[in-house]
Amino acid sequence: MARVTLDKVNKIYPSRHGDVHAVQDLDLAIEDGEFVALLGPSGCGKTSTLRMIVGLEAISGGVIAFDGQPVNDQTPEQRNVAMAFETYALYPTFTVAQNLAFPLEVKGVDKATRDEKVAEVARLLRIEPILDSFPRQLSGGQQQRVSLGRALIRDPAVFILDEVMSHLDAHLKFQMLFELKRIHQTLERTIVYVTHDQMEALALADRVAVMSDAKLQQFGDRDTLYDRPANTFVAGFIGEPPTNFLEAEVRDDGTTMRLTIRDASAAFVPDGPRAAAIRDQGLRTVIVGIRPQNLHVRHDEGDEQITATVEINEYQGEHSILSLRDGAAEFRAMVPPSVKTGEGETIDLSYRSRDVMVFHPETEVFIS
Amino acid sequence: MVGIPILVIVLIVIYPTIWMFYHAFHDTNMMSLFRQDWQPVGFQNFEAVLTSERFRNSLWHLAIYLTFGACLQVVLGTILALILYESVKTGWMRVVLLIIMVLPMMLPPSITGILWRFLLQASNGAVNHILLNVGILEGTERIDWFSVDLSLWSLVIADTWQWTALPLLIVFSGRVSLPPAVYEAAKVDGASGYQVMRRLTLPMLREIIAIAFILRFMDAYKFVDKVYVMTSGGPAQSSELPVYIAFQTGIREFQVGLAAGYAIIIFVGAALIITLFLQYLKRVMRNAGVVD
Repeated sequence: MARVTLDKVNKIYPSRHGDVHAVQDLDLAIEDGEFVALLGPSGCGKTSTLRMIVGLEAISGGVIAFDGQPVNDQTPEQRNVAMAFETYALYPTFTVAQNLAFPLEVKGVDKATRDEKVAEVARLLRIEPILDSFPRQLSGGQQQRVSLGRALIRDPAVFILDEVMSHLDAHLKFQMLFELKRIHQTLERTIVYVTHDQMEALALADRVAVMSDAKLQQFGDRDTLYDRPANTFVAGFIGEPPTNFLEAEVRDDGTTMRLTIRDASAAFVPDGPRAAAIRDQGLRTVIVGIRPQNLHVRHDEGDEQITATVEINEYQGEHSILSLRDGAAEFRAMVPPSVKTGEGETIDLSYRSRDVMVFHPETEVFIS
Repeated sequence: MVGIPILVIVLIVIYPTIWMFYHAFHDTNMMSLFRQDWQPVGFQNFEAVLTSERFRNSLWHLAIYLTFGACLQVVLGTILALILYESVKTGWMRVVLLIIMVLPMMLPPSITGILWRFLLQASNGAVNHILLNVGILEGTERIDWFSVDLSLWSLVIADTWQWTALPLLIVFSGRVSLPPAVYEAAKVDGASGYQVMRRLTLPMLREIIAIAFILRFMDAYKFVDKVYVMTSGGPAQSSELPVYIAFQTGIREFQVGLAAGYAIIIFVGAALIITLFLQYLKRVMRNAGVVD
């Protein structure tokens, strides 16, 4: 059980072609028992961050503390962390049971207790039938579960899980997401989970730290990330299909504000507080962000409306994705599959003005 | 075009082999070859080999040579390779050290033999001089490295000096290719250096070490060059190995029939041992998933 805090943590890899700054001034406070996901595209520094928390990578600057105690100079063993690796890292000459028992074996736990714990973890992860197999005989998914089991069998301060679901098929992944969530609820341990898959991160974590370009972009729960993204990167990264970004000009007559899309006829109407913020900053142009899910065909009381031409109506089973065009502007909307509007036809779409996100045209920071 | 290589193989391999098998059952020697007249003698040549004390002694020498030569080389090579891997992390330093350690292997075995014959000379060899300087030997005391008791061990020393680098290279490259993530996992699990070595590294390198041993074994089995230049099998046949006797009998004494008997018995022994090795290699490859 531990609170993990990162204070201005930096990671610099020296190289012949100049230093690579992999993590820049990262601040993160993970509460005791919290499930936190580090989310970001490949190369964003999330794995470096994780390896510094574990103690496999030296910290170039800043302080990592467990329960307020700096651990910069401690080995992984002293930090008492357990880790599941993306590449499984199973011991090839051991059977599954021996792999699971190894962390206990090196601590000098007696055989009877070891066997008991192995059986318990095997039941939890449904790997009982393969306990006597060797890693090379297992599928990727099985190996991944064994690797997870080897972390779970310990009694660590923090669990570190590195892309542990990347090699599971969709069905098994769903099942494992559920299991992992349940494990977290029973054990109430601090878990740091690294992934590039936003679905996993949002489904599992209490809070998600979104990283990009070696920097922390935003750290918050899923509603915050979804409704109040810190900048265009977070808005574009969270959500599928990605948020539509449109450059717009501010038309303001003092009472109503319209954000007219450049080279197009449509305009979005922001809600009161946001309009006030735009006025305060005296912006002439902004970036409008609207999620495809928030453009509806159904019209509710108080909704605003825009009209666009359908270019592609892409049927995806539970919904359809409309690729739309208005003048030079292109954007997408997610609609029920019953919408049959085809190529070249126009469609009226509704949105709630509070779903219109507005970003600063240069800094791309969210305006609230 | 295919005919030429086949012709060459027939001339230099198949024909002499058939010739050898034929003469193994005859009393061929220099005179009978000269007169083109030899008599069949049945299994007499084989009987002579198997009942000869000289041959039995040479088998014992071979056993000592394999245990303390080939095994020592593999054990030393493995230890050096792992020390080199664990304690030298700089890339160019590793390369420099590897080159230095591999240098003896670059010398022709016969030259190495001559070199060690000088180094091990009793009266003014460098080895005895060093032992004198560090105080192991005193006054006029000298170790006679080519005495009945020691000459086989002198061969072992010279051969180990030359060939330890081969298992070293094999084990080093094996260690380099072990997955680093496994070691990180062991670090996170809290395994000590000894536990990692004993439970992970050595078991993972087991097959590689076995292959290094097989290579050294095959070479040691036909070991003849250093025997020839360092001790000539002596003194009093105390450092003779089976292949050397076959060579002596056939080329020096021209007892072609008897030498063919030696050669065939040595060949059968090699075939048996190689079959065992192949069985082992097959198991290794099955475990590694190379073949079903």
